[in-house]
Amino acid sequence: MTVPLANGERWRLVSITVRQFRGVAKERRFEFNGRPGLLHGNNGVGKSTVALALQWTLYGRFPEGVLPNTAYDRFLSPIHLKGKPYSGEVVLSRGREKLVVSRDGPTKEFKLQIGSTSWSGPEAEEKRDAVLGLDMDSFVRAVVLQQSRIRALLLDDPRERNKALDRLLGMDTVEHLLDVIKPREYAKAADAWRAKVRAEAQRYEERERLLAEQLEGAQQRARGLKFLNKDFNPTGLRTRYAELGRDLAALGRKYGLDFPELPPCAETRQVGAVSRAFQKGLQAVRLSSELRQRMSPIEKSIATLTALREGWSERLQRRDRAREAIENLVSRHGEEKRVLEGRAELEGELGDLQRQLKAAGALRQLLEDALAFVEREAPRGCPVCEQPLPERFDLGPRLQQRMESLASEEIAKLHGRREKAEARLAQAVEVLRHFKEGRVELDECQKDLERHRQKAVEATGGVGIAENKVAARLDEALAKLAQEREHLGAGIAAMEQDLEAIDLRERALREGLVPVVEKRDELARHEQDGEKAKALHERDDGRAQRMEALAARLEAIRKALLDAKQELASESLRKAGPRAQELYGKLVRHPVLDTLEIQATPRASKVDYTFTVSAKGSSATARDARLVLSDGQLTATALALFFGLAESAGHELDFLYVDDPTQNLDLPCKEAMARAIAELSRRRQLVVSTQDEDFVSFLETAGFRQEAVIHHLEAWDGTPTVHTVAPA
Amino acid sequence: MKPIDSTVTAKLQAQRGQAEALAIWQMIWAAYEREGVEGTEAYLAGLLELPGEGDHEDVEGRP
Repeated sequence: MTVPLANGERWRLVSITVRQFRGVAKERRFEFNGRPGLLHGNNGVGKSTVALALQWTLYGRFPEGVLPNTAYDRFLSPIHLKGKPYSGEVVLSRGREKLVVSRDGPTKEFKLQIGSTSWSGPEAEEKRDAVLGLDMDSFVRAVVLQQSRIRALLLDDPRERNKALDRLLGMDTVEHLLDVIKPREYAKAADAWRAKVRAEAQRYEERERLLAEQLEGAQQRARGLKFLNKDFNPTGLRTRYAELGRDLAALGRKYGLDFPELPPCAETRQVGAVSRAFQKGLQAVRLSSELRQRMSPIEKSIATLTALREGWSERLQRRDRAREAIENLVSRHGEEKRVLEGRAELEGELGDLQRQLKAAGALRQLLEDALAFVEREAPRGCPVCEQPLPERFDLGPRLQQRMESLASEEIAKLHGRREKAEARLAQAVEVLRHFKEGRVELDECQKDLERHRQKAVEATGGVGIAENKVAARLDEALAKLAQEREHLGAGIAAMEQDLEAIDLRERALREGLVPVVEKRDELARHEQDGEKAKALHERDDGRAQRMEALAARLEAIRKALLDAKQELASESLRKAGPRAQELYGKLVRHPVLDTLEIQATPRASKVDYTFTVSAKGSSATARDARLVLSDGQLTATALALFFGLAESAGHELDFLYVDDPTQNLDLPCKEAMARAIAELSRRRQLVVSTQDEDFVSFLETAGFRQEAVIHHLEAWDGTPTVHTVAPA
Repeated sequence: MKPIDSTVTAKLQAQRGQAEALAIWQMIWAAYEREGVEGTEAYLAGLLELPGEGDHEDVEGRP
C-alpha cells in the first residue's frame, strides 16, 4: 500500500504533545508526520488521553454535556499531580506550511502560529476556525469518531436516537434552538394580557354598578328626609347649608345671642368643619341665652334656700332633743340643784361613817392590847385605876367577848351603811354628769340655730326673724322663686324645641343629603377613572398584540429552522449516502438486505430519521434497520454512516481520528473494518486508536499497519510507556 | 455564515412579511453564537412580557 504524504491541499496531523495532562505525568509527544497512525494497547494505558488532548488543545472545550458539572482543571490535570499546570500542542502541516496550535490550562492562553506569524487569544480562535474551516461542533462530528456517539444510534428510545443522529449531522444546534424558541409562551402571554384587561374592565363595571346602586339608595333616603332632586348636587348642598346657617343665626338673635355665620359648604369635604361650627353655635345658644342667664341665679338661690330650709328643720329638731333630754333628767332626778345638795349630804354621811369605823378600830386595838397584857401579867388590880380586882372577876374572857362583839356586829353594820352611801353618791355623780353634758349639747345647738337663723335672714333679705317664723319665711321665699323658675323654664323648653328642630335639620343634611352628593362625586370620579383605565387597557391590549405577533414570528422561525434542518440533514445524508452504502455492504455483508437508505423525514414539529434496509431493487423488502439487524450489524451500519459523513464533510482537515471502532463487531466484521480503514487511509490520513489486538492483526493484514506510525502503549505507571515504530 | 444561519435566513427572506421574524432570528442566532443556549434563553426571556402576579394597578398606577 502506498500512502501519500500531505497532499498539499489540506492539513494533516504531524504531532500531538501533552504536558502533565491526564494520564501523562511529564511530557509526551506522539508523532504522526502526516502518516496514518495506530495507537494500541490495553485499557487504561492512556490512549483516550491523546484524543482528548487533540480536541482540548484545538478548541479548549468539549461538546455540551460531555463533562457536566466538572471543572476542566480537575478533569485534565494529572491524577497524581493535582494543581500542576497542564498544556498541549498540536502541529498540523499542509505542503510546506506548518500550523502550530498550543494551549495552556491554568492561564487559558491559546496561540496559533503559521510560519513566522502568530496569533493569540480570540484572534487565534478566529484564525483557527477560518484556517481549518470548522468549529468544535463540526470537528467532533466530522473528524473524531468515538464509540459513545455510535452507541447512541442503537438506543431504543427514538428521541435519543434522533438526538444522536442530530449530533452526527450537526443538527444539534437546531434542536437546541427549537428547545428554547417557544411561541406558545408568547401566545399564552397575549392571552394573559387580554384576560387582565377583561378582568379589570369587569371590575370597573361591577364597581360602577355598585356605586350607582348606592347612589340610588342614598337618594331614596334623602327623599325620605324631604330633600328634592334639585338638592342632589353641590349647589343644592351649599344652598341648604346656607339656609341652615341663616336660621341658626336668627335663632341666636331670638335668644339674645349674636355669633358669626356658618362657613360656606360647597363640597362634601367641608361638611365636617361646617357641622362642628354648627354644633358650637347650637351649644352657645343652649348655654348662653338670656333665659339661661336669668335662670342661673334663680336656680342658685333656690338651691341655697332649699339647703337653709332643710338645715333649719334639722337644727331645730336637734336643739329640741337636747332640751327634752334635760327635762327628762329633771323629771327623774329633780332639779340639778337638788341633786347637788343630795350629793353633799351623802359625802357628809360617808365622812361620819368613816370616823365611826376608825373609832371602832381604835377601841378594838385597845382591847387587844389589854387582853395581851392581862394574859401576860395576870394583874390583881385594874391597870388603869390600880384598884384591886374582885377575886372571882374573870377579866380575860370578858375582854375577849367585847372584842368579838365589836368585830362581828358593829363594824359590819358600819361597813354596810358606808357601801349604800357610796352607791347613792356614785349615782348622784352620774346624774350630774348627764346634766352637764345635756347643758353643753343644748348650748351648742342653740348657737348653731342662731347662726342658721342669721343666714336665713341674710338669704331672705329681712332684718330679723323670730325663731318660730324662720321656716315660714324660707318657704315663702322658695315659693316665690319656684314660680319665677317655672316661668323661665317654659321659655327654655320652647328654646330647646327650636334647637332640637334645627339640630334635626342639620343631621338630616349630614345623613341624608351629604351621602348623596358624596356618592355622586364618587361615581363621577369612578367614571373619570374608567376613562383613564381605558387608556391603560389599550396599552395592555397593545402588549397582547405584541406578544401575539412575537408568537407568530417565533412560529415562523421554528418552521424555518425545521425546514432548514430537513434540508441540511437531507443534503448531508445525500452526500454521505453512496459512501455509507458502499461501506454498509463491505462491513455488514447482509446476504439479503444489502441496501441502506437513511432519510430525514419532516413531521409537524420535528424531523425524524429513518434507517431503512432492503434487498436491492425490491422496495417491498424495506425494513427498519433496528428490527432486522443485530447490534453488531447496527454498529457497523452506524460506522458506515459516520465514515460516509466524515468523508463528505467540507473542511480543511485531511485526517480522521477513529477511537475504538470495533466494539460489538464480530471477527469478520472487524476484518472488513480493517480493510475499509486501510482503503480509506489511501485517500486521507487516519489515526486509529484501539485495544483490540485482533483488529491490530487485521490492520496489518490489510496493509494499514505497515504504512502507519505505530504507538504501542505498553503500560502505564503514572505516565504511559510507549514503543513507537515509524516506517522507514 | 454557518449553514443553519444562512439557510434559516434565506427561508425567512423568501417569505413575505417576515422582515421582523428575520430581525428576531438574527438576534437569536447572535445570542446563540455568543453565549449558547443560555444566551438565547435570556434574549427570548427579554422579549416576553407577562402581567405580574396581582398586577392590577388602578389609574393612578397604584397596585
